[in-house]
Amino acid sequence: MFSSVPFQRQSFVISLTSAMSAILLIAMLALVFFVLRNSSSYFWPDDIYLVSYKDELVGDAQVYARRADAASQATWISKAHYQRNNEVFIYQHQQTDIVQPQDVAEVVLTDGQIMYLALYKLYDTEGIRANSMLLELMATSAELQQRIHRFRVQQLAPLHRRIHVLERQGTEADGPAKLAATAEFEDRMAELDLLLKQLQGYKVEFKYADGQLQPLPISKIERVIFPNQMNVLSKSLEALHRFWLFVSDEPKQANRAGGVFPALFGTVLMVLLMSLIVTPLGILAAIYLHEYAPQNIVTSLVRTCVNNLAGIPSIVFGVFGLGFLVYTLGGGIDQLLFSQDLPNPTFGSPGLFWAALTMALLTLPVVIVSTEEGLRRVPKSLREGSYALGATQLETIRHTVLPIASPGIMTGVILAIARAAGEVAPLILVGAVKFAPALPIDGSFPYLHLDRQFMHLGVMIYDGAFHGQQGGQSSDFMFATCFLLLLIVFTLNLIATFIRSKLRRRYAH
Amino acid sequence: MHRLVSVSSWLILLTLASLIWQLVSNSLPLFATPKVSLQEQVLLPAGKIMHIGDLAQNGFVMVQQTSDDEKDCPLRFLRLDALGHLVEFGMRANACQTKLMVHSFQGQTYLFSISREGVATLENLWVADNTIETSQLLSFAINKQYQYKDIKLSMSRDQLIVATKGQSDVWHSYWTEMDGAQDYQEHNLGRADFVLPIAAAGRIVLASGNNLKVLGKGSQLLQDISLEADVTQMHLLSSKRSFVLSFSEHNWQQFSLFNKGGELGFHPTYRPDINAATSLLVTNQTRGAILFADQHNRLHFYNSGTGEVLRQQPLTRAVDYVQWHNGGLYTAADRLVSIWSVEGMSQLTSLKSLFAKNWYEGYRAPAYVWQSTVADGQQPKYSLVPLIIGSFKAAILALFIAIPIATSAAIYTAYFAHERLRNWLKPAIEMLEAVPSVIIGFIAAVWLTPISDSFLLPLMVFILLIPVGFYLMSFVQRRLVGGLPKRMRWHWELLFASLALLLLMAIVFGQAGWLNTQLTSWLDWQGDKSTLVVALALGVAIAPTIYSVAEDAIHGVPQQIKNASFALGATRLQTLQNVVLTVSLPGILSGITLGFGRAFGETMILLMVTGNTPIAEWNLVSGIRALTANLAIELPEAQPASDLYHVLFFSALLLFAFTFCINGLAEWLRIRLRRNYQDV
Repeated sequence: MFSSVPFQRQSFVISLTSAMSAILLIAMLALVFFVLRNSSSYFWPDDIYLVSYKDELVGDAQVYARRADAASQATWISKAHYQRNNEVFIYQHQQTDIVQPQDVAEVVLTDGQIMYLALYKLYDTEGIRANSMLLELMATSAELQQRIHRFRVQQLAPLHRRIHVLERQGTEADGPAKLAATAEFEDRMAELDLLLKQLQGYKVEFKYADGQLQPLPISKIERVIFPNQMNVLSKSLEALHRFWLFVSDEPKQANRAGGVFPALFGTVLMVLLMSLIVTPLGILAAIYLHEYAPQNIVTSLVRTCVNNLAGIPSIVFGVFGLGFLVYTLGGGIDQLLFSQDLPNPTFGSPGLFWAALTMALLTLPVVIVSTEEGLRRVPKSLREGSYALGATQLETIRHTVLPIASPGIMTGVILAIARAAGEVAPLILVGAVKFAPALPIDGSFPYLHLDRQFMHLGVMIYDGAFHGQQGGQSSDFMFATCFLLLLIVFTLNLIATFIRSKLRRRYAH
Repeated sequence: MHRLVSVSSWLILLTLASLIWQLVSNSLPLFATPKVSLQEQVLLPAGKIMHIGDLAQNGFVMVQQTSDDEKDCPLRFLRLDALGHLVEFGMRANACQTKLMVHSFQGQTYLFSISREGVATLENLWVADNTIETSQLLSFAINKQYQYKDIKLSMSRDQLIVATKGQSDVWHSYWTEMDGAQDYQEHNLGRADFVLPIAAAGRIVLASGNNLKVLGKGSQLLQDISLEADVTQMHLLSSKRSFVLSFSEHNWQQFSLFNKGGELGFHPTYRPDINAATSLLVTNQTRGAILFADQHNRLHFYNSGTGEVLRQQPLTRAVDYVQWHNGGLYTAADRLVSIWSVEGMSQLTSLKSLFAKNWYEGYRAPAYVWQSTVADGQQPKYSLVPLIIGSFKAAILALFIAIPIATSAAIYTAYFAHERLRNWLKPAIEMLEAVPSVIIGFIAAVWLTPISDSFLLPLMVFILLIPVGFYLMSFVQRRLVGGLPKRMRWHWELLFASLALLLLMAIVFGQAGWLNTQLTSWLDWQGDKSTLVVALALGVAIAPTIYSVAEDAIHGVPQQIKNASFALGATRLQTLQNVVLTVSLPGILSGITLGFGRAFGETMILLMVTGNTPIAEWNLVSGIRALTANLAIELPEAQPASDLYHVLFFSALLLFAFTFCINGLAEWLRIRLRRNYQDV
């Protein structure tokens, strides 16, 4: 086959190898764009269409729907009906007609449910109001809810406590103090009832595409937007707003809606703890290897260790973390310090601290290698200058070598953080869970709970792969999580690459 | 400072050492040989031992007192008190002529009796408030003409089989339903040396001389097997689906119930090479273990899955009764009951049971099986072979994709590409390495797998078309390039190649539906198409590793030898072939080795994309469960210090050792590469 003239052979090889480079490049970009494209429908307010289609059961039907993502085989996706957790997927061959109505709204409920509905009628306590007053009424309703909340906390709760104390003291049911308290309690309850009734007066009637009405109290509605009336700018603002909600809110609807705050928080906290452990250890080890190490068996042993740690599959670190850190060390700590709680484990079960420590071991080679590279690039002349001025080795390292090598060290730490943020396998074994009831930091002593299990972005994605429906709300949510993780990891890597290339340029000669 | 610094390096050594120690120390229990050690001995009152329960867990002993006048033979019930003394807590009158038999089934104790009048009764026995309680389950009258010499009994959830041996050594069987709804069926079985009713299988096994007969419910002959030697003993194993025969030639044979040629029957499996006549035998089928004592008072530990005798342990004296409960092994000789603890059971797992084919109960033939969670009373199967094969298969699949792409890309970037292009192309491709594998796995699992059916074949066409397309293009390339503006003639290959590639992709995948139907009918493809998704996803994940190392190796080839080659008149391609690749080959191989190691150790992609079905086949399109994914699936559920836990740690040790070797190989290749650089 390759019997053609050399020139052709050469251009064939060049174009083929360049095509292979292109494949890798395209794979990388495609991956990023795919995640971006699919997560965008979670953030970007898509236009909503009125789609007429043929349903296998019902026959002709109409729904409000948005265009489906690339990850789905359907053409259109319609959001759930109220209190029904299903999504309607419409395929190309079913579709008969589409129009784009102006007044259709995307309604987000307080429990995270999203629905596409047309605004039909608006009520406040006095009766029907103009539909344009929706935002005003929502504000009033929210204010009323605030008032009710304050009323409950400030008025009812103390009364409740008073009655409780009286009961505990054994006061007779018809004692004057008790009677007075009960009467006041009933008065307050009546007031509350009034407020609640007032709140219920604020309601909206929405209309599904098929004309069916859906009344909802305004207090259950979190946000209403009209994507079809928005321009690109307001859509971008809305997308930013949603991104903010995504990173600051709790997951809702069993990881189908809401945000990823606990997972983001868990990831960041674990990574911070890890870098607190790995940075000093890695830097010291690198300094030893590069500056102090005598050429002996120990040094070469340490080097072999570092090289091998880098090559060990991450799950093996997880196994080590579970067997040694959690069961052996953690079990020992429990025996010593928390014996009153046994057999319930405190540190003897997977938790935040063990995860951070496991990750620190995993990323140790990254920090060491990168720090060593930084140290290697410190010009010999600078050291000699320092020695010539009478500095000791320690002083030279502290005042001359380390400051110059600091970008290399930083690169290493950043790369370690990026690696730890994206690594999932060991975490499954040593403490990351798909749902943790409490954050590892809260207001109760000792504030930072190192023994708690935590949520992690990567673990959330792993879990989502098994439960996510193709296309649709939950896969949007998972892709949005992927996007966030990719954003974190890429940003860290780009920073590291940037610092490194700057460092290389500075000490190139 | 010096001290602090050197402490840190000792800490690293310590970490690696404790990692290895942890893996090894948690795997070692697997290879300890099991043994029994005497815990305590208690003395029973005179009489015949009918039953020894699990004394450590509140069980009781039942002894039938014998009397000289052969009239009154009461049953005495004894238990251990708080001080460890055996005390009597119950008694029951019983006529000597009533034949008794105690049977244990699903943790319950049953007493079966046939009175002189021929009334058969089945009772449940249990202890409540320190008294013995009974409740009658079944009672029926059987033929009283037979003076029973022996009774055999077997029960399952819904039926009871009783076999009795009458005066003239003729056996009769009685089948009855446990709910007592129907009358029993009686059959004359004729004479036999040994009879073994097996209710769970609905069979009765008869052995006389060297002949073995298996009868079904209506006493019809199901199997007639002639053996090589005369049967001297017949034991049912606790799973109730296997039995063991001892022969007069001092060896024995295991039989199991399984489907062979469409017929469910008992078939011979292992025939262990032991020169001993077994006398007593107990089994613990959840562990696949059989313990038997031979005529020389030795206790043998036998693994029914591998057919190995793992240990022989001499006992101090002869034993004439033996029971094996969770709390320990109970043996009795005369009136002395010895309670033994059985240690190191978590290994009956020998190397053979982990790496060789095991003949598990109910299997047609020996097989490699990983099945850690099984139904009650069955033996978990821990063969590492399917997992190791799975890991290798996945890694090989990934290399198929990664090697051509990564090495070609490395050649282009390091050799052909302009330095300016290389400066951004290399970091860009290496960015792929930073993508968390969980994201690659997620995309592959959520998007690629569902559509793999429709894109697999078009993708293959695409892959085949790339070299063909570019080869054809090389003929017209000169003319095409000639038409370009002058400054675009050099170093723009990447852009044009990308465009050509995208064009080809658009053509092939635009016609994907048509191609797919055409090719499917033409090729008649069978198999799991998701393995291609594994290859793609894992290939993309490891390609940057190979690329990065190979690129460094090629780029590191000293400029002067390239120049020397050019000076001798070699073209760029000839220089590449004869000089650059030759010198940098160890480096490229080192990259491939590292990539292989990374694919072997990758967890998330395999966990999310493969079906995680452990299948021990080298067929690349059958299911895959990798060692790593297996750890992630099983370890969170494994009880510390259980068999499974140790097996999993052992598999982690294997992973560690393997990647250790792979990394060592890669390191060695790198040293070779450095020597190559210096030599030239």
